[in-house]
Amino acid sequence: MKVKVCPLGYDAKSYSLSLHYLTSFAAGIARRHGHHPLALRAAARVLVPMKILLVEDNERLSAFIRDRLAEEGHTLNMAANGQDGLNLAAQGPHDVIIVDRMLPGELQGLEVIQQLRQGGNSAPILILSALADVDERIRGLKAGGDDYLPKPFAFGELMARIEVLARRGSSAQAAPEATELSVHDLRIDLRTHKITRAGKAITLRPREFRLLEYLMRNAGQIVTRAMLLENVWEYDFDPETNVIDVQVSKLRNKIDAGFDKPLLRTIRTVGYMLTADD
Amino acid sequence: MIRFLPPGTLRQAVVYAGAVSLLLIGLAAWIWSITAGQVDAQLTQLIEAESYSVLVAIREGGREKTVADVAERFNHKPIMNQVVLLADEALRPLAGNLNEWPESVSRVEGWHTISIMREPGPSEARVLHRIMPDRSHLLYGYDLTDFLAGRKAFIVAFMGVSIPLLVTVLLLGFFIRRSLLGQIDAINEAATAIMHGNLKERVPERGDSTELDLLSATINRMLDHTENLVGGITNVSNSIAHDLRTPLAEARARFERLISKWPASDEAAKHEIEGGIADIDKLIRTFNALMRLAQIETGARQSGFKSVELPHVVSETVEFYQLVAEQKGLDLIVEIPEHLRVTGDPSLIAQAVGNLIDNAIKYTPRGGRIGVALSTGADGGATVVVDDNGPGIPDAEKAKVTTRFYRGDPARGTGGAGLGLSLVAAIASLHGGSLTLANNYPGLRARLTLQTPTLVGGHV
Repeated sequence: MKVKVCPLGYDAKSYSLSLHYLTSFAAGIARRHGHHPLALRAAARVLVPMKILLVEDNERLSAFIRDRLAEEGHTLNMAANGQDGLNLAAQGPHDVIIVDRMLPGELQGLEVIQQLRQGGNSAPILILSALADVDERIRGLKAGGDDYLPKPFAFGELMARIEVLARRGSSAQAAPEATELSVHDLRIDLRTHKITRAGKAITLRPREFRLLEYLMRNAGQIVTRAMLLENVWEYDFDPETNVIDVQVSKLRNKIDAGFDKPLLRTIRTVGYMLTADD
Repeated sequence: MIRFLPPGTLRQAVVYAGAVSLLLIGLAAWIWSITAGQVDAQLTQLIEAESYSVLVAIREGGREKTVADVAERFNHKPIMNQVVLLADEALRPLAGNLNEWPESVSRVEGWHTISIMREPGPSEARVLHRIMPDRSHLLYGYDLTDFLAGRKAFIVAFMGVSIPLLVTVLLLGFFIRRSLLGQIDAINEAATAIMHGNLKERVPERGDSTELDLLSATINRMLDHTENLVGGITNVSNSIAHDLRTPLAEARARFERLISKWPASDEAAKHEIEGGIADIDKLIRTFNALMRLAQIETGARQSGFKSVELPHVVSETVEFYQLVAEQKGLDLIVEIPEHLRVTGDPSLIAQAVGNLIDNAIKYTPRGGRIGVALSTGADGGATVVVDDNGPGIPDAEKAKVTTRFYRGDPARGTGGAGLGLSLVAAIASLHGGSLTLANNYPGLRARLTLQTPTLVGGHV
């Protein structure tokens, strides 16, 4: 079975280009952590306590994030400026480091990230910033950040991104070079673009395939609408429309309708999750 | 700087040259009429006096004595360029330095100009024909050779002075104008750059204290001031981003926390809280859109302009909205050429086209059709036309819908902050283009133009 070409006929090329971009981006992260190219079964969502470092000068925001993370069972180390952040980062491995773009004192957020990377720190880094500009985003990622979240953000959004980053840094993540992904009885072959659920073939449009691939790579984790926009459509702005919901519900119709166990869930006020758990 | 002069400059130069030439010609005519007129008047008086004295001689001394006198004085020799001929009743020459009566002179008295032969060549003479008391005819006048030579010398001298003068005046005018134009161009270029958001641009100052230089200095001071003000505005909007959106996000987070702790059984209350979160999201979105609009309007994003393959951007955007259009039973008809490049911000162009398509989807009733067409514009720019057969926008409102927060007929309102078309217009203007809304009979026809295109030939 082949991936059905979009009726407009212009999607196939851009799809492969963008996919290349995605995989090479992910491959960079994987190299940093020394993964082997293997087909892995996506793990169920397990709440593993994480140790997170936050470099942020807004004390209210820091305290708020600390309290919420504590509720989820995670530990937060807090630094109010760049130098403290570097010192804390040196004291122990963190699952994720969160750095505010604008910091008081000499060291700005991007410099902190550059110094961390130069010092060999390979922890996934999430950049926070009130500067929601594309250029700022690209500059942040170039400096060594792994994701960029403009302020203000919903806590659910922050949590979803932290978890996805932490998973990328751990071995539970499907390797980017994997040729097959599976969740429960849903399988996709990344080389042939063959999709089956319980052995039954499913036909997807190219963009739906990318959407499903992204959901499967992050199976068991909440994926927000903004994350889908950024990673599946490469939009860096809010199109103020329910396109994502429409796309996801269409995909759900194709992969869940007629099967006992629904895999694609809606997480209220946050986003979606592909999981086989109950 | 070498540049082609605008057509206006050439026209002005021609007019200028014409005026100077007319003035010079007028001056020449005036000088000529004064000098030549004087000479002419003197000659006329002299000739009249001399011819009268011949007349008196004939009356008092008789014809023979006078003929002998004239012959003695004038035969075969010109004296002081005087031309004299005394002829009998049948116009046969009696005495004088003309060998025959000129054909062109009639038998009637009066002034004549005749051609004469003399050394070294032909010339002209101005003569008075008088009939004497004994019915003989007297021609008395002056050879104009010297006068003509004088006129020629005058013309040569005048040309010799006025042509270099004319050229000098024109060149001076040209250089002064070009120097002025150069300065004005510099001011113009700076103003254009500033209009496009490059507030760092300044008008070059030459420091020569001319009026234009002083104007440049004043403009630069004004720009310093404007830059400070705009910087202030940017700071204020950054503060707004920092200070006002943050509490909104905190409020949202509190609701999120509340909902996660709420007993699952109380579905109604959970629904209310979700409504609150949705409202906050709408506020944050409006804030984000406003900030983005402000950022676009400062023109700062032009620094990130690059060559954009429009067919790719437009088709990706169409694909993004396609499913929503299908769900609403709308036909989406797309017309996109293979290659069309413009210089711009791909993300902003995608947003502009997306907003137009989103608008069309929102306002076109089920079963309608939406067209998206990309083409090279008439003036070389790129044009994106998004048209639908929905209710359209009344003519009176077309200009208002691109202003911030304008919602038009509330019955048509189906969500959105009322910033969508303002954003499209701002993005168009950032790209040197425009957004025009026209009637599609029925429906709306939105035309977005983008400038600085470069067509790339060839095939995939």
